[in-house]
Amino acid sequence: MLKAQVSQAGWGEFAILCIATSLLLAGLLYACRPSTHPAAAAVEAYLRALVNKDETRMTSLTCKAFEAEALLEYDAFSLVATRLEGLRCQVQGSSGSAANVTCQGKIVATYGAENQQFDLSGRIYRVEKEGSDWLVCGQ
Amino acid sequence: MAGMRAINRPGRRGWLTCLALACLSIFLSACRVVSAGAVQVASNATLPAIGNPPSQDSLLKPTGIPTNTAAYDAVRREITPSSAAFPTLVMESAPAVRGQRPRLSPSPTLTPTSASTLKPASPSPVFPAAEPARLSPEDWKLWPVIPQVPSNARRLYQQGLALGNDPHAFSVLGDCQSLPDIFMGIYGTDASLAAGLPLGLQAVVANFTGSFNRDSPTVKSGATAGAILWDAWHENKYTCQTGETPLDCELRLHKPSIVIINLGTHYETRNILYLRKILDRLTAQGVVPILATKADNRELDERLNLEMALLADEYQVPLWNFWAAVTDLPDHGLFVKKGYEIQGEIYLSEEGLARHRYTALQALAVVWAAVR
Repeated sequence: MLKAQVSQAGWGEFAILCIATSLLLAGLLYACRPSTHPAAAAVEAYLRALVNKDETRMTSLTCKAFEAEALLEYDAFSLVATRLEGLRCQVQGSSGSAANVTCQGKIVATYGAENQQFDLSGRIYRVEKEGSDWLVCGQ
Repeated sequence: MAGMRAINRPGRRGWLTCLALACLSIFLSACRVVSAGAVQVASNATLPAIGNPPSQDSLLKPTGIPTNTAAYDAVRREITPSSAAFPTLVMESAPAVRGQRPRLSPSPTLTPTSASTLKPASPSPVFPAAEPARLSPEDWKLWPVIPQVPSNARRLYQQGLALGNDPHAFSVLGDCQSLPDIFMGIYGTDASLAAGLPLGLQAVVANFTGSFNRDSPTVKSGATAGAILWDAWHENKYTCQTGETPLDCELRLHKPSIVIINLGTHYETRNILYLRKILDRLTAQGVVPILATKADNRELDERLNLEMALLADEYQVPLWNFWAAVTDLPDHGLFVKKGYEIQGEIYLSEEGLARHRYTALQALAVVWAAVR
């Protein structure tokens, strides 16, 4: 009887200890994780706005000087259905208020039964910080 | 003692369980980090240079050099069948069901149809000794199918030859209805068809051999005017280079002296802006543009055809008024293609396509004759 009580008490302590340790480790790792750079996040948001045909959102993520080029790409897709596949962007170089961002993945454009694929891996997006926002300023 | 052993035994198991859970949590956290796709950023890394957008080319202004009217008139007589017949491709069967494009017979033959099928909405074009009479862009529906050729076209053409343009090459800018196997490719592949053409058109086919049945970066399904200027639209095919627009790629590869701009069915709000850029680029390169109206009215107010007429007037370049060539056809020669219902009634029926390719050839002939 006593043996059983002691055994149960031991398991309980260890279980609590394990959960606490796991939570602590997970918390530490989450806090210390290298987060997505805001410049890369801006490019991802820009590309999502492009394929979602959200002109307002897309232009809000571009520098004024780059807007015409961004709209050209936007307009090129105006009558084809578009989606992103495997998008992942990362910063390749940064100098405080500017960064170069490359991406993996592709834009798939569908016209009727025809698919066209636009590989994103060859592009380098120039992203600049204006105020608190990172904006796509070149490609 | 027995109680102590009882405590110790589950304790070892407990630590092992704890260790396993900790490993699991580390593994899960690591997965989370990888999926974030983050990369350490070197704060002082050097930024590779990114090229600046190309500068805009200047527009060439018309100078009023007289049209080569003798050759022009001769060719005009030769491209017009003596009986005013209009050749169409014989179909295996008439389109019984809307939404299905009828098939061409394997060896199309030419059969005349009534003269009225090609009758333009206005009287036949006049080719004066100097500049043709100005037509009002607002009245574009009354413009002739086969274009009047402003003297500016000849000046552009001659300038283009000096710049290295090929007098035996023309190009097309367009969407799926400009693909060679649908549009003019048959003139390059079917010798019997070409042999049955009026002499003036045979001469055009002979002169531009190699241009009719040719894949190019400027013809693709869903193409808009903007797409022709977007440097990724060519998908790096046709040996087009990174950062090179499909238009620039085509000019580099084919060196056309004349370009048929068959865009507009697929359009965007900035359509005219992009058309201007295209025209600026072509005229700066000494290429003669032939603008074209379209049969459909997808935009509901026909503004795209009006824009074409406005641009033809502004740039003093020819306009092939295809719209006027299909006014007598059922549904203006259009149908809804199966599987492409979302695009609407924009696809040319077989008879519409026949007129498309034939009047395009006539327009090319008249322009070529006028600029030489």
